[in-house]
Amino acid sequence: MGRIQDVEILLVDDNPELLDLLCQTLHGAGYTCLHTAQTCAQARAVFAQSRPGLMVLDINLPDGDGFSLFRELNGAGEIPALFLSARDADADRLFGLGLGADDYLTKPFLTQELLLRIQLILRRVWGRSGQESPAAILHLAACRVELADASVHRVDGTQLTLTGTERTILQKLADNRGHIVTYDAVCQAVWGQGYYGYENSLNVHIRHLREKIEADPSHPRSLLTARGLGYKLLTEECP
Amino acid sequence: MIRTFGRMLRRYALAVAGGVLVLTVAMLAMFVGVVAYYADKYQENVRYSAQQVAGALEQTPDGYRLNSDHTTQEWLYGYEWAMLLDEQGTVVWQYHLPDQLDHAYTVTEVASFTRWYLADYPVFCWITENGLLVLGRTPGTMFRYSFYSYTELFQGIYRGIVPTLLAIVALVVAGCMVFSWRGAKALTGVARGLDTLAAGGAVQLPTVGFTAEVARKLNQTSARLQRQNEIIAKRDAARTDWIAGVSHDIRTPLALIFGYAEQLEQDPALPSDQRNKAAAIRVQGQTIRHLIEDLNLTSKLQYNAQPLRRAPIHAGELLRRIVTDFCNSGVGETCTLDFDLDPLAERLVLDADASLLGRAFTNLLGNSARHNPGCAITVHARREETTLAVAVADTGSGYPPAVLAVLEGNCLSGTQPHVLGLHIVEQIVKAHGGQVQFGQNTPHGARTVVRLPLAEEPNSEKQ
Repeated sequence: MGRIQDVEILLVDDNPELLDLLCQTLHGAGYTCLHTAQTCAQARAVFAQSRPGLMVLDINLPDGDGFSLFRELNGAGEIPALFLSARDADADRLFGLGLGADDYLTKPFLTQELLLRIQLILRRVWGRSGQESPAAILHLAACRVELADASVHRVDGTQLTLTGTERTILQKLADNRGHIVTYDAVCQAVWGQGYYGYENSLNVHIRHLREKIEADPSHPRSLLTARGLGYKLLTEECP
Repeated sequence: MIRTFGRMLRRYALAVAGGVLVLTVAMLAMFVGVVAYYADKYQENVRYSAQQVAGALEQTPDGYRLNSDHTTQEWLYGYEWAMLLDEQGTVVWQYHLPDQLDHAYTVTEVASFTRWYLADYPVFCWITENGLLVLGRTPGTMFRYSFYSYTELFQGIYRGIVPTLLAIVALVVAGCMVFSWRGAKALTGVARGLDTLAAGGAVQLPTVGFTAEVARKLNQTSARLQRQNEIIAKRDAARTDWIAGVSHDIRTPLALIFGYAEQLEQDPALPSDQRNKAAAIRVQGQTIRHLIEDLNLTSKLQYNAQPLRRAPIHAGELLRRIVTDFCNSGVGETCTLDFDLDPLAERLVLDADASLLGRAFTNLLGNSARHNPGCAITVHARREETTLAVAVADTGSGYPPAVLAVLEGNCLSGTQPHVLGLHIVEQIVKAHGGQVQFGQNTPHGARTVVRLPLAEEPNSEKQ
């Protein structure tokens, strides 16, 4: 399997129009191996013939519920799954995720959001054995950072190495590139729970990080501060 | 119950003591009154007693006579007749003595009339040195009775009167206590029943004793309230379920509208005006989704069908996350946002449902951004005694007066303004035991202050 788009996806929903929409959307995004089912029985029949790499499941089905179906089909192995349901109660969401599903999206949803979530799951589960994730290389204003070996390649040709903490901070910010990440979330990524008191240490690490990745650390263009809130990483591909 | 019992006992004891006192005083007064009345009357009927008359009787050579201090009529005023018997029973002096009585008396006759009557005349006797003075009153005006008893009986009464009185007092007190205890017990049951009813519970009190009637009425009231509560609960549940059902059923059709509108919006083969129309359909679809979610949430909050998942969380972390999520959502990208957290408020602990509180603040921030593009939004948080006060303000046009009026609970004539999002803010803050204050910013804009109660601060957090 060369591309994540070649993964077989099983779509289960009792509404045929919605299944059509999902198929069109996924086809449009390059996914080729799609199976659909409107009932639990049909889903079992599809499952008997092929072993999908991802399941997108509705919860309310005519002959059962998506939670039980997921438990039954996933009993054999670790098949990633995303619940796509009109049930928006916290209890349902927590129950679905508690069963081991990778994500839970409530209807109505933006198709772009669904595509991004599916892509994220597939990349996490299947992308490791395929090509290296593009997220591992960050193109910043003043340098290129390869997170895999924590190396910084600056435009002037010099090469620097990030410390472990700096790499963890940058990874956390890169995972949410273009968005503000709170001090709390960054500290938690580095020091775990009970991070209180490390805010000053974080400032020091950020200063060192800027010295490595920014052309002018006093006027950062990639690693920005959101006053009172946290930090934001802008990469070259960010809008 | 002990307090009620004590109170009742005190009241009973006071009432009994008071009653006895009043009765005694009344009886004494009556006795004195009667005695005084009849003594006065007797005084009018008989002016001098037998002893006084005997003292006035003197012997002269002509026989006996009453002395000259008063006339004979005056001395014997009130008596029908008078006579003096000598040792032999012979009448030696007499005054208006009826003929049938004017004879010598035997010892037997004397013994008889001194104790009873003399021919129906009630008589008074007095022994003088000259003989026996007998004064007769009109028949039917006096009552005479001789009384005999054993000395031992009187001695027994004399010895036993104090213990008997003490035993009676003890019995009365014990009776008071038993009666008070039973009364207090019955009243305490009724009082508990009233408390339970006031708290919205159901009661079934035993209908015995002197509170039986009250208990029966309370049981009837309780049953009626329970029936009404059940009807209200059923109606509320039906309404919440209906809204939840509509909210659920509308999601799949909305997903289709979203999906196809999105596809058309991104189709490069379509002219831009048609893609813009598709974008408008998607945006309006999102508005419908938010409205339905708000409607569902407000209905659940109103009827307590929304469980609060409360957990201790630090104010700084929670507020930063909420404001950051809002910034990242892109809703307020045309606005500037200033977040100012007092360092003293950083580690305050709230016992909160972070997701619901996030929803409340997102509604406030979203309102400022949507209604006032380009404005400056500020979020200031600080400690106010036992609360965390968070002020969300903007430099926009402020709340319309009609919105503030509706939020303050005033009914407006005509079309009501749309305040569902702000109403949800109010409901969520109230569900957390807090208060929310909607007002205007100076010089212009809206300003909302949310005050949330602080949880007990953990002891060993500081590292």
